[in-house]
Amino acid sequence: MAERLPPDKGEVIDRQRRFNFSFDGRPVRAQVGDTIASALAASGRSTFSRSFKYHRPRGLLCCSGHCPNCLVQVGDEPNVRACRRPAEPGLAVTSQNVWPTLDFDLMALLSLGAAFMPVGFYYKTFIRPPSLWPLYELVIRQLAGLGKVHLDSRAGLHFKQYLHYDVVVVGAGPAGIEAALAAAERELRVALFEEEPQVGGHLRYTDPGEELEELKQRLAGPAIDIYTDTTVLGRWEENWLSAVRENCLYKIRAGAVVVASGAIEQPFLFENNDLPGIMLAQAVQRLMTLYGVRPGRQAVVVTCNDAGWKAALQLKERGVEVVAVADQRTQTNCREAGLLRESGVQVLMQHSPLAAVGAKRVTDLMLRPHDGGAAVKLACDLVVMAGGFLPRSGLVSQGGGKLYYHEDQGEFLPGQVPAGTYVCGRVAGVHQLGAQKAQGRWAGQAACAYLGTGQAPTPFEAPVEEARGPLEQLPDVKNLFVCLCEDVTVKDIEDAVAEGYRSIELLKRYSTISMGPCQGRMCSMHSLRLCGRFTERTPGEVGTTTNRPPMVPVKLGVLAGQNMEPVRYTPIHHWHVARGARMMTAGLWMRPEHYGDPQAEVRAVRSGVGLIDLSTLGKFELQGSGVPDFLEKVYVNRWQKLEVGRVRYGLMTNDEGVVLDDGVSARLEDESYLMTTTSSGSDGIYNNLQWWLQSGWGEGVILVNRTEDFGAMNLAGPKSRHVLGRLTEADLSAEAFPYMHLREMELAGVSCRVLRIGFTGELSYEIHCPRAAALHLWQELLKAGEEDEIAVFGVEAQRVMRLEKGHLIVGQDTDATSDPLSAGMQWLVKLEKEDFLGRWALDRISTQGVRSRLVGYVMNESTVVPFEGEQVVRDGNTVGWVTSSRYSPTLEKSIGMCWVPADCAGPGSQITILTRDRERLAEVVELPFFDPEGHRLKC
Amino acid sequence: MLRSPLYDHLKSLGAEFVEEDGWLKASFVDSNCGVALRDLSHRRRLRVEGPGAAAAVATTKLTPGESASRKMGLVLCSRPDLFFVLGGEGEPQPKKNKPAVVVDITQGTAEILVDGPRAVVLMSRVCGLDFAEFAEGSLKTTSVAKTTQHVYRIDGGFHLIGNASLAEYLWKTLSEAGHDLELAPR
Repeated sequence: MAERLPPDKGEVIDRQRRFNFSFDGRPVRAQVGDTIASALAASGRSTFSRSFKYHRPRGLLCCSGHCPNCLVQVGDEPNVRACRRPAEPGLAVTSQNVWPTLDFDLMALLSLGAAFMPVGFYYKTFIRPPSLWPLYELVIRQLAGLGKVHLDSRAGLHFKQYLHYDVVVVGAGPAGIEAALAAAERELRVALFEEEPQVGGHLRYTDPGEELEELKQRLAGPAIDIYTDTTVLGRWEENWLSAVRENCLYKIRAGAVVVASGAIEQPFLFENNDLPGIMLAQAVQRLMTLYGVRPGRQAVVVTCNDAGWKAALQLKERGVEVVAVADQRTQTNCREAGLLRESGVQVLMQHSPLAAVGAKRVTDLMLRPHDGGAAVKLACDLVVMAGGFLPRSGLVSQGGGKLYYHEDQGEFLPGQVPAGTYVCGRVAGVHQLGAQKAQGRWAGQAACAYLGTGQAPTPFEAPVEEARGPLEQLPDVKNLFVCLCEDVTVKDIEDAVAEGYRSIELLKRYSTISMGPCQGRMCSMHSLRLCGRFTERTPGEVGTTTNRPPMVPVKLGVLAGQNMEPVRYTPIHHWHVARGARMMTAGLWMRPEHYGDPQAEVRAVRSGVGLIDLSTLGKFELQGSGVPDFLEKVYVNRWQKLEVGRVRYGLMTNDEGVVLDDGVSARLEDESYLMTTTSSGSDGIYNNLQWWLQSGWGEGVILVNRTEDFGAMNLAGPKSRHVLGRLTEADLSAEAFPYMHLREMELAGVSCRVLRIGFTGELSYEIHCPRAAALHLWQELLKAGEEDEIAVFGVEAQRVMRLEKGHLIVGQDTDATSDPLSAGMQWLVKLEKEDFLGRWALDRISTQGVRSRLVGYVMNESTVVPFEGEQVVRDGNTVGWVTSSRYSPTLEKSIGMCWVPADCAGPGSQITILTRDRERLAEVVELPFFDPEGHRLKC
Repeated sequence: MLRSPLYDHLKSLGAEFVEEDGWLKASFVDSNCGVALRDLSHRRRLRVEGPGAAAAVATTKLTPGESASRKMGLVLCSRPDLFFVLGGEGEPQPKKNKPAVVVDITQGTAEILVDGPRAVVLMSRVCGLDFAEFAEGSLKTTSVAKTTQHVYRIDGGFHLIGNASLAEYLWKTLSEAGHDLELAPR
């Protein structure tokens, strides 16, 4: 039925370059520049999709990305608007929501049951009996939804980009272009956003002549950043806008915003108004002008404004027979009407569409005269509708602006607009080209003046417009669709109102009108007019629904953007990976969990020597005379008498006495200290310490974060002294370098700080060295330990050994309610100190007594190892939970730590752990499990 | 020889390494590109912190974000009590009764230069700053790809100075963000 028209100005297709793609498996010929929809239309296709509920055939309606009628699946991407997606060679396009085929869809039989599917039927139908819900769900899942999501699809690359401009203009129609030019003339940073591939707005398809060329030429002059194919999605506080272009989400900060987003042409309501071949005037103009596609052969144009006449004249000029033009108004003085009358086109003033006739495409249109006369039936294969405009005022509303209903124009127009926002063109209800340009210029200048550049222009006075919405005199028929997305009819709206849904917001939710893919762009004006009619209110009294971002559907990948999950690598990371270490995340750090057999790693350390990468430890230097006082305040234990070269374990709590972090600190020199923290607590503790330093405790203290400057490793095991001795001439004997001391020495040519401490309970040396030398030192230590069969060990082995030794891990064995008195660290807390963070709270807890305690336990059955987090139960009630649990290869027992009520925390108490849904007995024991006297550690 | 925190990654990208001042410095075949990433982690960086930091770097007039070229190197003011010294050779000298700590952070930090005609586009994909207001010779401490970086702008390029442990992540993230900007390592 459709075909290519002869070439004409304004075309975006290249007639010399053709290619093929497929639609439902059949080849489709396309020209370069075609959209999927224009190529399909040129190939003669009328039906593009099936409706959501009744599976009625649907054809092109708006051709501008607003309606749901051309949604298709492109490869593995569902719900692609065929009228916006450029056709590409080899593209595999398929129809959606049909069975078995688009042209022969058996699911259309659902329409026979329409009487049983009134508005809101699913709320009432699928709730009883409850036992049938699984069946309902199965059926609903089969029938509902559009398109198919392929779970193995690759997300592809998405990214976000921040943009900053003085003036952002949304919409590159005549008004928007003038606004951008006016702002750019005052040398501000200006961006112009346009969702279409080219600038020019409606001129591109209504009048692609000199006016358009002149605007384009002027636009090429000043420095304006033009973003085409880019849709502004929404607007938030402080002129914060978002926009999407392909896989990029722009986050835009604007000084002032000019909204020139245009208006969306509206359809008429009449019986079978959804048949293929019934199109909006702008759709046929786009098809003919941009893509050279003949939309039909015999057209009837129905209109309520001059835009319909313009479209009718374009149709006639491009060789389409215009059977008649039916105008709801009493008269029009537009130039096109005169020309059409002179050329003999039948003109029917004060006529409205009554019904369309046809099966898979419109064949006739019935027109009803307003004087009550007999209906007129006109044969046609194309009905062109110009039913008024819906201003695209979403960005105004989202910015806090208010709309008002303009009775004469039948449009909701921006009234009160937010500060720094200016509205121009069709969105402001201005439809005459000259006025649009003048208002655009005014808006651009006003935006500049708002930003303090140039004088404010005189207020713009909009001319009286003729455009207005359609008259609502509806026939009492069933197939009169208001919402094409959800197949909501006029009758559905009436029924919903009768059920009490009189508010437009409630009506929307109950009927689902405006909740489909078009998001109200084709139906919101009709629905609120109908709501007004059935509740005897004016549209202004009914009001609009709340406009929320995003303005168009957006892919989740675009919202997610580029995957940016920072990961931190130690200087030895690549060595671990190369040796097949299983890596794990610890905070942002990547750490080796183990190198294949964590139990063997434990045995190797206990019997010989092992090496672990501890570069992730927090490492701070504190300098100044005030450091001892500061340490006294931030730790619960004493620091004043720490001697140079000594190391002490410390515990930090917050004001509430809750355990924050632990680690060791050492005195390097008289006024110089080294503090270590847990790996994951490092950044938080640094910030916490800085906060206190800058809040009055900083006198004589300078805190420097050296975490990244040093690599660290721990050489542990009974043979560690022997191995370390091969790399230094320093005296490592227990007398010369005792437990809990620090020495500075050169190891394999690297200056290091060595601390005789360890988490494993073995003779250990924690070695800090300059970061860039860490790998070298690591390899030298391994070389030195070859004879002693040194093993590398990971976090898992370390955790087993620290559990055997009864050391707690802050954040694992403690949580946001754990205090050191309950956690078995009472020996560390010095309540007699003058003051420290958490002292008051801990003093109170000490007086009142603790309610629960962290204890060690041994499972009665050594083969049962509870999961961490499992419950400790008593008389069927949860009374505690397991925080650490491992099988100890050293003790050959299942051991762990758990929180239990204080009354069963004594050694020898029997507790019950609910693990894998079975109750298992365990005995509370004294900590540590291994080497309680610390002989191995201190030797 | 000292290795940059990016050594392993750049090696996997085909970098050649040359010795320079005790460091293995990566080099790539020069090519025209929209954005170039260059590893400058071998360059000396000092952190001068404390109430006497300004006196130690002899630039008491610098306000946060400003920089000045001195014999000891390029001095950048981050806070009134925190300065960075890039390159150069001399040591900042804390004054009596004006305490300051001078720390060599060359190994603990990485320095990545983002350069080229489309550097601003790349940076705007990983950082929310308004780069039109990011003057030459100025320093800002900000979030870049969700990491804290000290960003210094000179000759149109951006020097990102941040934790060494994050360098490889940052390099990879920048590379991915610039996949359509003709990005190349230099």
